[in-house]
Amino acid sequence: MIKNPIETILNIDNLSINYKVGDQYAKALNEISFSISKGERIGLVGESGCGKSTLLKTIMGVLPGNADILSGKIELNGKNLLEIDSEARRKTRWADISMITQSALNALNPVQRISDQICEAIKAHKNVTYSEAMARVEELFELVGVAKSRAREYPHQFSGGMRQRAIIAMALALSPQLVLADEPTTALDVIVQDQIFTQLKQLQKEMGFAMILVTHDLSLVVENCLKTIVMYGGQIVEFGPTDDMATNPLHPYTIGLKNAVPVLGSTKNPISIPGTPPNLMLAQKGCLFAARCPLATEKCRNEIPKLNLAADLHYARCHHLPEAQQFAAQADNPEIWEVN
Amino acid sequence: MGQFIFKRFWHMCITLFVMTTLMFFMFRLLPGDPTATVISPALYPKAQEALRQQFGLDKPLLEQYFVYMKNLAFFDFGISFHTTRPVSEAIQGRLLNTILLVLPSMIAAYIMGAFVGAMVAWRRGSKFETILVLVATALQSAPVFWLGMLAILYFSIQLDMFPVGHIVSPGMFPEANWDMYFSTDFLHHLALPFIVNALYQFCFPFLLMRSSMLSTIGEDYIELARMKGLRENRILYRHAMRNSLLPLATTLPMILGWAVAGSVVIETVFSWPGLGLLMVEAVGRADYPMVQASFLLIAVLTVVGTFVADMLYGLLDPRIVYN
Ligand SMILES: Nc1ncnc2c1ncn2[C@@H]1O[C@H](COP(=O)(O)OP(=O)(O)O)[C@@H](O)[C@H]1O
Ligand SMILES: [Mg+2]
Repeated sequence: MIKNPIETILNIDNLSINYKVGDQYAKALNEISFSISKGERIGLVGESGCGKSTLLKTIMGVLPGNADILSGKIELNGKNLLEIDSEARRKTRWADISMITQSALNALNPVQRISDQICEAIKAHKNVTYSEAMARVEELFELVGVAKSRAREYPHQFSGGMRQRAIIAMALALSPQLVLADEPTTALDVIVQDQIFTQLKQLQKEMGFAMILVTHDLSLVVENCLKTIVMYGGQIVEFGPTDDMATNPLHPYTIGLKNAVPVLGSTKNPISIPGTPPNLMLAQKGCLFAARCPLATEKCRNEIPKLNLAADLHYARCHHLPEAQQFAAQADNPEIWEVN
Repeated sequence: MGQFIFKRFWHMCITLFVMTTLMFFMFRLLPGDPTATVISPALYPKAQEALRQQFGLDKPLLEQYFVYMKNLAFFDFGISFHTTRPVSEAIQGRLLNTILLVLPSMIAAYIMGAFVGAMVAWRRGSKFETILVLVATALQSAPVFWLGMLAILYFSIQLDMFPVGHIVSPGMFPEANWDMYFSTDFLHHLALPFIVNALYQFCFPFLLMRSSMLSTIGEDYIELARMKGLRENRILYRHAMRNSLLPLATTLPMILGWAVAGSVVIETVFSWPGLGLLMVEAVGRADYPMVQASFLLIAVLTVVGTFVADMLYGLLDPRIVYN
C-alpha cells in the first residue's frame, strides 16, 4: 500500500480483532491495513456490522472488554499506539485523534453543560484555567456556527443539528491531526446533513486535519472524500481513489453498493444486494462475499483472495477482477443478483 | 423553579391538611368510647358531664374539629389521657430522639450504599461483588426487628459490647436535658440501633446503585469521556457515578417514608424513646390524643422528606422542567 513516510500520520498494519461472545469468537476485523496522510479525507463504507465502528474504536483505544487485538500495529507519526503505556495512550486521545460520534444525543452527558463537557476535554490535556478553556469553547462554537451564548446550555436544550455541531466543536477543541467521524449525520435530515458536511469540509480546509468518514451512504463519500475504503465482513475488499472507484468499481460488492444508491432523476430503482452479511463466528474458507456474489466460482469458495493492485493506486480483494467492468455494466439488472 | 417550589409546597400543605382531617374523623369514628379511660363510667353522671365539658367533648363533632385544627396551628395537640399533661410536651423530646436515630443512619446508609454500589459495578465481576449482592439481597428481605434482636442477643448480651436498649443508662440524666445528647453514654446507646438501621437501609441504595451504574457504564457518553482522554477517576465520579445517582434520588422520598414509619419497629426493639415507641405505648394505653399526634408527626416527617427529596432531584437533573 502506498505510504509516504513524511506525510503519513496514521498507519494501520495487519490489524485483526476478535470479539469474544460466549465461548465463541467473532472476527470483527481481519488483517486491516491502510494509511492516511496529513489533511487527507478517506471514506469508509460498508453495510452495518462490517466492523467500521470497531475499527474506529480500536484507533481510539476504547474497545470493550470482550475485544481482543490479535495482531497488528497502529502507528501514529511512527509510534505504535498498541505498545505505549496507558498514560501515554490517554494523552494521545483527543489531543492527536478525536472522534465525531454516531449519535450526538447519547454521546453527550445529559446532566452536564455542553461547555463543561468541552472544557473537561481541554483541561484533561492542557494546563489552562477554566476561563481560558471557556474562551476556547466560545471560539469553537463560533467556528461550527452555533451562537456562543448557548454554550452553557444542556444537551436537551439543543436541536439534533446543534448537538452534532457541538460534538464537532468538541472534536476540534484540541486541534487534532486526525478526526474520525462515525456516521456523523445519520440521525439528521438531508438538509442539515448537507450543511454540516459543507461546514466540516470548510473547517478541514482551514485547520488541516485529516479525516476518516465512516458511513453506509456511498454518495456522501463521493461528495466528500478523495479516497475510499470498502469493508465487508471485517475485511477491506476495495481501496482506491474515490473518482476511480465511482466510475470503475472493481469488487462485485462495491458494484452492488453503488447500485443500491438511488440516483436523482433516474428511472431505475435502486436494488440492494440480496442475502445477508457473513457470519463472523465461522472460520473463513474462501471469499467472504462468495455466497452473495453472482461471479462466484469454486475458487472463490475455497481460496481466500488477496488485496490486489488492479489499477493505479486502486486495490481490490477479488479473484475475478478482469470481469469487473463487464459485470458492472449489467449490475443494474436485479435478476443478475439472484444467486442460487 | 421558584414557581415549582411554591406549587410543590402548596401541594404539601394540602396533603397535610387532608391527612389531618381524615385522621381526626377516623379516630372519632372508631368503635368504642376512647374517653372511657379518663372519664370512667363509674363516676357520677354529673362528674362525667363536667369532664366532658372540660375536654370539649360536649360540643358537636364539627365544632370539635375546628377547635382541634385551631389548636394544631399553635402546636397544641391537646392533653394526654394518660399523663393529663400537654401532648406537645411529651412529643418534643421524642421527635428529636427519632430524628437523631433515623436521619444519621439513613444518610450513612445512602452514602455508603451509593459509593460501594458504584465501586462494585465499576470493577465488574469481582468475588466481593457476588458475595455483597447476595448478602444485601438476603439482608434486605430479613425483617428489621429480627436483625435488631439478633444484634442485641450477640453484641449486647453475649459480648456485652453495647447496652441492651434505651437512650442513656437509667438514672444518669434524671432530668433529660441537653447534656444527655452530648454524653458518650448516649453515643454508646445509639451505636447498635444506628448500625442495625444503617445496615438494613444500606441494602436498597447499594443494589439500586449497582444496577444503575451497570447500565450507565454502557452509555455512549461514558465511551466518549474515555475517548476524550479523561482520567479514569474523573470518568467514574463525574460521569458514571453522577448520572447513576439519579434513580437513587427518585426513590429517596419513598425510602424516607419507610424509614420514618419503620422507626416504630427499631425503636420498639431497642426501647429507643422516640416517636415510634411513644406511639406504640400510647396505642396500648388508648391514649388517643397522643396516638393522633404521633401519627400526625410521622406523616409530617414523611411528607416534608418527600418535598425535600423532590427539590434535590430537581437540582440533580437539569432535564426536569418546572411548570
Ligand atoms: N461489544 C461487542 N461484542 C461482541 N460483538 C460485537 C461487539 N461490538 C460489535 N460486535 C460485532 O462486531 C461486528 C462489527 O460491528 P461494528 O464495528 O459495530 O460494525 P459497524 O460499525 O460497521 O456497523 C458486528 O458483527 C457486531 O455484531
Ligand atoms: Mg457502527
